[in-house]
Amino acid sequence: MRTSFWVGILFGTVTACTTTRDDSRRTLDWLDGNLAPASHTARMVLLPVAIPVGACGVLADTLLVNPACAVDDAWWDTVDVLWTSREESTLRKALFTPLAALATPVVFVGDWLWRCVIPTPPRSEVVPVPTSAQKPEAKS
Amino acid sequence: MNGHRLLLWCLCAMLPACAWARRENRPVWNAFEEHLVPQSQGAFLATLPLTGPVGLLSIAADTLVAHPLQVVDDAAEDAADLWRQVDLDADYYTEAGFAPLRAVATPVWFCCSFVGRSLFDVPSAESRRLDAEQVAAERRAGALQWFAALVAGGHRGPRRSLPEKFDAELFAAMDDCLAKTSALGRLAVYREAWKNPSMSEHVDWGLAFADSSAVVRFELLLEAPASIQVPDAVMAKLAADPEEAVRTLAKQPRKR
Repeated sequence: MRTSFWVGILFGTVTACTTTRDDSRRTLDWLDGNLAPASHTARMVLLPVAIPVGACGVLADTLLVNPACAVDDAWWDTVDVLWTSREESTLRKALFTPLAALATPVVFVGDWLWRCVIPTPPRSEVVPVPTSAQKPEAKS
Repeated sequence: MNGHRLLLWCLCAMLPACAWARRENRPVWNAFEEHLVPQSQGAFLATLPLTGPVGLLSIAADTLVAHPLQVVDDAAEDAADLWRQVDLDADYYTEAGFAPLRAVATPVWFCCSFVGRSLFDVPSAESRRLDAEQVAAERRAGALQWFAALVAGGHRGPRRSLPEKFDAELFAAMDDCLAKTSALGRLAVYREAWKNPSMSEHVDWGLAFADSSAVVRFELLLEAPASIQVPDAVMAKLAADPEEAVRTLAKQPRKR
């Protein structure tokens, strides 16, 4: 019991690392934006209430929101690694497809767990999504 | 205690000697050496059977008592750093939510810092601040010397990194340099400016790209990052530049 308690504390502390990123605190940002008292005095007085509420926000982000948001990125990472063709021959693709199928759940779960635990930039930061304002370059 | 354990204990005892390598970290040894060790060679050799063991005791006292006591306040400062970043006005629930984690981490971080500083020569916050101030002062002096060298006819880049933040005196020196130096000197300043946000904000890039020297105009079009904004009127003038090489470059997209 004591060992598993401390292992749980350690795991919780490590997974909370994801919540250290500014863009991985959706629940906390909502609380800060909508429920934070306006005056400094009120903030100090309500601190005994804010600490458990904030701690629940950290837990919600760490254990629920961030893992849920990581599913999409983990899926597209998997597609990128295993199912995106890089000018391979047809034979190579045919031979690799069963292996890719077998590896898909492994890579997906591994990538998802990695994104749940380690602070990782979301795919939208690493792979910019083209907006409607960007026009393709005109060919000369 | 058998031989292997004794050897292991001695090796572990020697490990903290890493902190002992710095003079400031061995007050007991310094006092012993200054007041009890004879200066003359004859007396030194005669008293060696006594000074040797006492010297070892003083090393042990430094390693196990004196230096750890010296670093307690630095370790406390390191632990206090965890709370200095708290800004309840900016992120109320976020900072409040992380407070329990900070409270748990504080004694852990204190112990880690204390052990690390006891074992190894880790500069204190005060000495780091003094080192940073010295580096900043040297960079500032280096920047002023570089601008003066450019005005005197040089055109090479600075020998050391320029300050991250320029003050009024440095900006005045830069403006004076741009007004008096050669084309290659101006180019050297612009090359540093687009790497330094503080300098880049001060430089009039419209004026830079409209430089009187075609070499400067060409090199800026070729090398300046696309993040440097150039007024459309200046780009239009460059597209009609007397120099063909500049005209050609002005019509191409700039590098990212």
